[in-house]
Formats: sequence, structure tokens, C-alpha cells
Amino acid sequence: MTPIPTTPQPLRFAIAALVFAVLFGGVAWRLHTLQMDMGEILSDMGERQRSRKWVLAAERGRLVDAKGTPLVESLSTWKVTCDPRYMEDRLGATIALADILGLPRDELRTHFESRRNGRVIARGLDDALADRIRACKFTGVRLEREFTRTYHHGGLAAHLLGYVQADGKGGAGLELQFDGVLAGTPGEELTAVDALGRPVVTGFDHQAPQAGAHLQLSLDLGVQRILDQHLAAAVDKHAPKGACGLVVRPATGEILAMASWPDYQPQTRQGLEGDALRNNVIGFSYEPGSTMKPLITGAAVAEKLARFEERIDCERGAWTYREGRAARTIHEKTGGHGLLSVAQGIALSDNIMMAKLGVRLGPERLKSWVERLSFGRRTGICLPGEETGRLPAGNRGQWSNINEGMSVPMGHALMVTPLQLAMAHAAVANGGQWNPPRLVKRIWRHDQDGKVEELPLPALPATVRMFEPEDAAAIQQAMTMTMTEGTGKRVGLDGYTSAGKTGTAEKVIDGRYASDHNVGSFVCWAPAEPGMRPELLCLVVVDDPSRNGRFGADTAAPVVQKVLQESLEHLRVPKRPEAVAEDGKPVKPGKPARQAGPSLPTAAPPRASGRPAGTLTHAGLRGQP
Amino acid sequence: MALRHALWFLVALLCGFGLWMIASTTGSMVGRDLNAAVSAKKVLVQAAAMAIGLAGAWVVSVRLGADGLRHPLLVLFALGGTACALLAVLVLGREVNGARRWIDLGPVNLQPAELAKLAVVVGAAWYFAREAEKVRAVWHGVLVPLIGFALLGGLVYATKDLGSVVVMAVVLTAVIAFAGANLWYYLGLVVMVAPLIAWQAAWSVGYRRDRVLSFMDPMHLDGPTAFHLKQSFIAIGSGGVFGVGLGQSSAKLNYLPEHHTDFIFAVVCEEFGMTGGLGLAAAFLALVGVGLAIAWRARDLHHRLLAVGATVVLGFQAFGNMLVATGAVPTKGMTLPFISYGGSSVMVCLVLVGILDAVARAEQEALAADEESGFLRTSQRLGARVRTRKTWHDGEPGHA
Repeated sequence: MTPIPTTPQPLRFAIAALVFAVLFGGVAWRLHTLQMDMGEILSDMGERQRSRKWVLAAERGRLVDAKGTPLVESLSTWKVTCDPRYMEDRLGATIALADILGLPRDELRTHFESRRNGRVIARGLDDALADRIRACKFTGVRLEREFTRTYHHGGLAAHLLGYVQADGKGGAGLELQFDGVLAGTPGEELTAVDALGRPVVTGFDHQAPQAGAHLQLSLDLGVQRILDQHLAAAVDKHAPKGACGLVVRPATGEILAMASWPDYQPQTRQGLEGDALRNNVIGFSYEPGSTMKPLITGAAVAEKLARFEERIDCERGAWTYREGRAARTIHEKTGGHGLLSVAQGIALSDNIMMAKLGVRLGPERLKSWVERLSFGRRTGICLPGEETGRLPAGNRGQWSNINEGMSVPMGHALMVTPLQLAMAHAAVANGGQWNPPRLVKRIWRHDQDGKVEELPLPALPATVRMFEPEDAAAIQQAMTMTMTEGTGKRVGLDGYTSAGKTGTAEKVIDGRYASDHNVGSFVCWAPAEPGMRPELLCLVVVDDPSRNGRFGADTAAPVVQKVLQESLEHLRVPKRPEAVAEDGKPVKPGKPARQAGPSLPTAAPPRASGRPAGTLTHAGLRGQP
Repeated sequence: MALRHALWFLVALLCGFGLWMIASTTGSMVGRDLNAAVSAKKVLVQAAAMAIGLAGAWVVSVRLGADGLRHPLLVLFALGGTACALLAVLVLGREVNGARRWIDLGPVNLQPAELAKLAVVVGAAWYFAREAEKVRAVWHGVLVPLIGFALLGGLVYATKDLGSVVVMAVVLTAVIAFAGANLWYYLGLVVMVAPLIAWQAAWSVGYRRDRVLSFMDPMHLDGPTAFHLKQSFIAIGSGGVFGVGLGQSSAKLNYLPEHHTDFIFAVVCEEFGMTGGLGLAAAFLALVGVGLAIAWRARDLHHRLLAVGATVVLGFQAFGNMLVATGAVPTKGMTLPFISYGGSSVMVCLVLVGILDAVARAEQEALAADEESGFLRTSQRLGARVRTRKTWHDGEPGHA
């Protein structure tokens, strides 16, 4: 065949070259779009689809009491899971794990032959077993650390400590309030996997978890146990709707014990419903009744409107106050008194005297004093769910003598929380200085190197001076009389001078005071001697007891008595010298005050100075009939 | 001489890079086994296929030569053999991914559709060189080639290999264009039939509709092709400018299907970035340039048509594959010449290189022959009146 000579075909070659140049341009354009414009998005998508993340649980911090005894801990165990689809040596794993875990081989085979990944083989293993399994290095078998929140003392201080929800977050109490610091930071393990989920040897990233911080509480385990025990006994005896109690160290505002009933089991979260959800110490608002009286009396004395020695006519149980056309008559239900000193009025809890003092103060001064005494606002305790209580609204914000002026001094018409009342009385015990309630003494954690790192404590409200020291001492002395001659006669302490006040308020049911539904309370502190710093203050509130008495003196006072007696002995607070002498133990003269802790921040009352401690108890009342 | 050097340099570069990429894409480290054995085996098989392909190229270029390719028996053998192989694959073929395209030949699977591309190049060049004078006639220029294409292309289409049919159609069109046929006939034909064929081709089968739709919006669709294209995008996008490095591709961890065959370009772009992707595309553009240059220089129409056909097969496949991987055109089963894993493809591609080499060699030999009588060539270049050697010897003695 002969060759056919070609002609130059420049146009056709140009077109062909152009076509391929355009195709090249198309590729370049697409590469630019995908690698420059969308590069990061696509790269992220790839990253996401091939990295598998395992969260490594962080150990939740411990809660320990004031002496370092653990109250709540997260105990570490190991969980074994398997991903059968990625397993390579099923037979070997079956034999080895059956041996280590003591499980039947059939059960393991069922796991390993499953088509589904993430099967849990065993939980709650200790470190030794986990190490043995880890040493086998089976692919597709994973060990994960698990923590079990363990409440060493069951339902003890359940409301204070709180609980941890199933999702590992704090659900109440300190567990909720300090969830952020307790929780720590979970670690991460990133593994690159192929499209079938099999791990790739090369891609691996490990970030160790950071354990949470530990809290040291002001709580004293011994005192808490004592409070729990006696409050529970009172609940059994009186079958109330609710009850609560707390023990405070007045000098510092530290809470040594706090209990609320109905309660729940934080470990199992049993009973976590209805009223049990509420911590009554901070969440129960009630009319305080007579426990309010010493505070308002103190206000009247501080305003120089009355003196403790002053004698006031208590009108034998019926007094009518008139203001313009309005009139209000007060009847003393338990029988009245004649002339009483102001101190005696507190001891005998006379309502008419309180109404008279209220009228002397006048509505405006009374309101400002109630606010100064920290009622109607939160104390700022580090616990969730604190109530403010409620002050009477008055008439367009104005209080009047005839209503609030006569009701508030005897503890009616306003709602307080047990914590507010306890802290106000603690201020009296502390020489007039109000301390914010303190729960947490120390927050610390161990960093990655095991070094201790201290974390800042939560900010607390500032201290407030409520009474001058001499007024506070005078109130305390009047309240001491309650314990010797007044309504607290039956619940005096053995070996300690105490100051206290009972209170019983009728509950408002359907808009009326119901005489058969009461809230009984008792606040008391000891040792209550001039020149000595009161060590413990205890308040117990019993809401609506249904049997065996209804007054605070019958329901709450015995609990407080036992709690204070046992707690003071537990804390080895020295008894009165003559009391020690009675017990046959050596008297230690010249050591009237405790040595532990800082000294009383304020000066001792002037009236008490220079006299031997033991003879001073009723100094304020001396010379009265 | 320079063109042949450039040709073989580019082919060696591409083949070497191809082996490297196959080693990289098949050698993933999943679980305990680094499946190095699997990877080594694939590299060896590919290298063996390349050796066979080179032998084929040698036979074509040296034994047969460009002129040998127009022997009617050889053309008949190429066309008939391909048709038989296609028939055989329809009956005996091994099914992969729902398509029956391969004949199992032990270590190497033969894909007759690849042979069909070769047959089209040889057959079309032979036919149009033979009928060069009548090529503008309807019968010889339009109907005969169409009937031939319909027969061969229909068989390929029956193996569900639309990509190869498209390549064959493009090659045929190019050869017809360079043969000097009347393109208006073809244009009219395309306008009449193309929409019908496109509809039939794209919408008739579920997976093709899926491919077309996925192509339009791969990132927001489910389905196998959208997933496939999305994975290809992720791989390419992850590469950035300079890539993640050789062997560091994540797409090959079973995320990107066909990562060592049809979608190997995505892995190239992931491991070597835009630099590598554009570099590879530039290498193919250079190969196309060399091929067209060989065709340009060919003095014989048959040679030129052979060179054009071979160049277009290689170039169109390469750019088609890259455009599919980058999502510029809907997905078609098309290999990346010299790079994709696949014995038939690399063998056929090397034989096509052999054809180009044969054409270049023929030109080279003709040139050498001319240089023996340098004046002829010079006078031709100058467009001077051609005088025969005899005349020259008659007129002016003394010249050797």
C-alpha cells in the first residue's frame, strides 16, 4: 500500500491542543476549589471520620470532714469491653479472659462472636486484674476506668453533701455547688481508625484525665453523727412533717453539722422525691416564733429604748394597744405575768413585753433592725437552693405598730430559714459579730506531677457587726436565764452553762393560724459564760409534730440538749470548774477558757470583767426580785 | 529523536510513579498486619503487566513498525479478536461491582474493553487511510465507521463499561476529524441522537442516575456514588498545597473505594497536594503534546491517524479520570493511564505508546533517508521545484 502524504492541518492540531489545555485547566480549577477553597472543611471532615475518641473518666474529688476523714470518695474500678468486629484472636482471648475473670468460656464466646461492638464483658475489676488483662494485649479488648461515688456514711448529711446523678454530674448540695471543681477534666484517647473501625497502628493521641479537686469541709463527722442520731430519734418520737438541725461554731461561722429530714440515700439515690429534695436548713421558711425575741430585745436595748434590768408591766396576760381608731389586744395563752425585768421577759417568753418593746422601737427602726439581723436575704452559704425567707410587706412597704410592730418582735408575720436564725443567734454568741456560714475550709488538688495545688475558696459575704459586745453579752445572759429559770429549765446542760431560747409558732393553714399545727424550735449555745468563747450553737426545728408534744420545748429542745452535751464532750470542751469538781475530777483553776482556736474577737462584757468565771452566770439578774 | 526520548522519558516517569503509588495505596497499616505482602504482590503484578506491555510495545514498534499496523490480517485480528474477547467476557466474565468486565487469566485479569480501545485506534487508522479519497462520501465517511463503531461499542456497552464507550467514541471522532471527513454530517448526527443516548445512558440504569445526581451535589446526598465522590473530595481536600506525604493518605484506609484503581488520582492529590496533582496533570499534558507533535510530523496519513488515535486515548483517559476524581464530570469507570492498578489498562497503554514510538521511528527513518540526500529535504522545505535525483546527476556531475 502506498503512503498517502499528509497535508499540514494546523487548525485541527490547534483545536486538539486547545481541547487538552482546557481539560488541564478543568483539573487545575477543580484542584484549586477542593484544595484551596474547601481544603480545611474537607480536611476536617476527614479528620472527624477517621478519629475515634474515647473519653477517659476523671476521678471526682473527695469530700473530707474537718479532721480529714473521708466522707465521700470516688472509688476506681475497671470495665472490660470488647469490639468483636476488630478482634483478631478470639480463641486466645476467650481462654485467657475466662481464666482471669473466672467467667464461663461459653459466655465469652457469645460476646466475641457477636456482630456488635462495644459489648461490656465485666465491670468492677480491681487494678491487679486489669493489669493482667492489659498484659495480654488483645486487639479489640478495651479496659476503661470507672468511678463509683461512694458515700462512706450512708445517708449522713445527705442534703449537705448532695448526690451525683447517673450522668456523673452533681445533683444537689455540695456535689452540685462545687461540681466544677470536683469533676476534674476528662482525658481523651484519640485513635485513627479505618473505614471499618479497625484501629490504625500509627495514629494515636493520649491526653491523661485531670482528677478533680478535693474539698475539706468544716463538718465534724462526730458532731454530725450525734446530730443525725438524735434528730432521727426525735423524728421517730414526734412523727413530724419535717425536721432539721445544724451545729455552728459561732466564732467562725463554721457549720459543724447539718441535718434535714426527710432525707435520702445519696449512694443509691433512694427516696429522692418530694420534701426529701429540700434541705430544710436552708430551704424551709417558717415563722420563728419566740426564738426571735432575744434579738429584738437586743435591738431595743441597743437603741437605748430599754435596759435589761428595767421592769415592764406585763399586764397579767391581756393588753390592748390603741393607735388612732385601731386597736389590737394581745392575750397570753399560757397565763400572764405582772412586773418583769426585760431579762425575765425573755426567759419566760412574754409576748406582751415584746409587743411593748416593738411599739417602743417603732415600725421603721424595727424594720431596719430585722434587715440588719440578716433576715429577708440569703446568708450566702455555699449550697444551692437557699431561701431568702420573707419579711412582711406592710401597707405599701410601710410597717405599722399595730400589725408588724407588735407581731415581728414575737416572731410572727415574718418567715425565716433555720440557717438565718441560727447565724443571727451565733452573732449574739460571738459578741455581736455576724459571720457568714462557712462550709468549706480548703480546696486542693494534685496536678499531673502529684504536686499539691491550693485553689481559692469561694467568696463569702463580709462579716457584719450586729450588736455591740456589751449588748450581745447582756442578751446572752438573759438567754442563760431561760435555761435556768425559764422555758428551757428542763434541758440545761451538764457541766456547761448554756444560753438558749425556745420557740413555737402556729402554722398558717388556709390563711389562719392553726393552733394544732406548730413549728417548734430551740436554739442554744454553750459555754455561755462571760469571758468564754461559746464553742457550739445548735438549732433544731421540728415542723408540725403529730404526737408527744408540740411545743419547741418538748420537741426540739431535748434534741438540742443531747446534741450539745455530747458534741461538747466529743470536742473535749472543758466543763465548768465546779462541775468538774462535782464529777470528782481535778479542778483546773485559772483555765476558764478553752485554748484552742483564736480568742474571742471582742472584749468581754465590762460588767463581767474581773470576777471569777463560775460566779458570774447570773450577774445581769442580780438584785432583782 | 528528541520526541522519542521525551516520549519514553515521560512514560518511564509515569510508570515509576504509578508503581510507587500502588505500593503506597495498597500498603495500609490496619490492625496488626501491615499487609506488606498484599502490597508487594500488587506491585509485582503491576510491574509484570508493565513488562508485558513493554514487550508488546517493542513488538509493535520494532517488529511490526507503523507500516505493519496496516496489514489487513493484523487489523482483522485486532478487531475480530477484540469482538471475540468481548463476547467471551459477556459469557464467562468475572463480575466485579456488578459489572462483567474481566476475564480471569490467573494472576492477571484481562479486560477486553481496554483491548477495544486499541482495536479502535488500529482499525480506524487503517480504514480512513485506506478510504482517504472517499472519506467525504456519506457511505464511506459516515455509515461504515458508524456501523463498525456500533458493533464494537455495543459489545463494550453490554459489559456496562460506558467509560470505554465514551473513550472509543472520542477517539473515533478525532480520527475522523484528522482523516478529513465531513464533520457536518457528524455534527448533525450528534445533535439528533446525543440527547437520546445521554438520556438512555444516564437514566436507564439506577446506578448511573445515582452517579449523575451525586455528581451534582455529592456533599449532601447519600448513596454509594455520593459517598464515593465525597470521600474523593475529602482525600483531595486534605492534601492542601503540598500534601500529607507519601504513604500518609487516610483515604486508603478503606474510606475511598477504588483508591488504588480508578480513584488513585485522589490519593495522589492527598499525598502530594496540589503540587503533585498539577504536576501529574502537567506530565499527561506533556505526553499529549509529544503525541500530537509525533502526529504533526508524520508524513503518512495512516501514521498520523495512528498517532492521533493513540494520543487521544491516553490523553482523554487521563484527563477524564482526573476530572471524574475531582468531581468535574459524572463518575465513569476510567483508569488513569500508567498509574492505576490494572494489568489490561497498563498493557494497552504501553502498546499505544509503542504505536506512537513506531510512528516516530518511521518518521525518524524517513528523515535519516532524506539526510542521505540532504538537498531534497532542503528544497522541499524551501518549496522549490522538486528535481529528481536522476536529473541532478544528469546535469551537474561531481556531486556524490
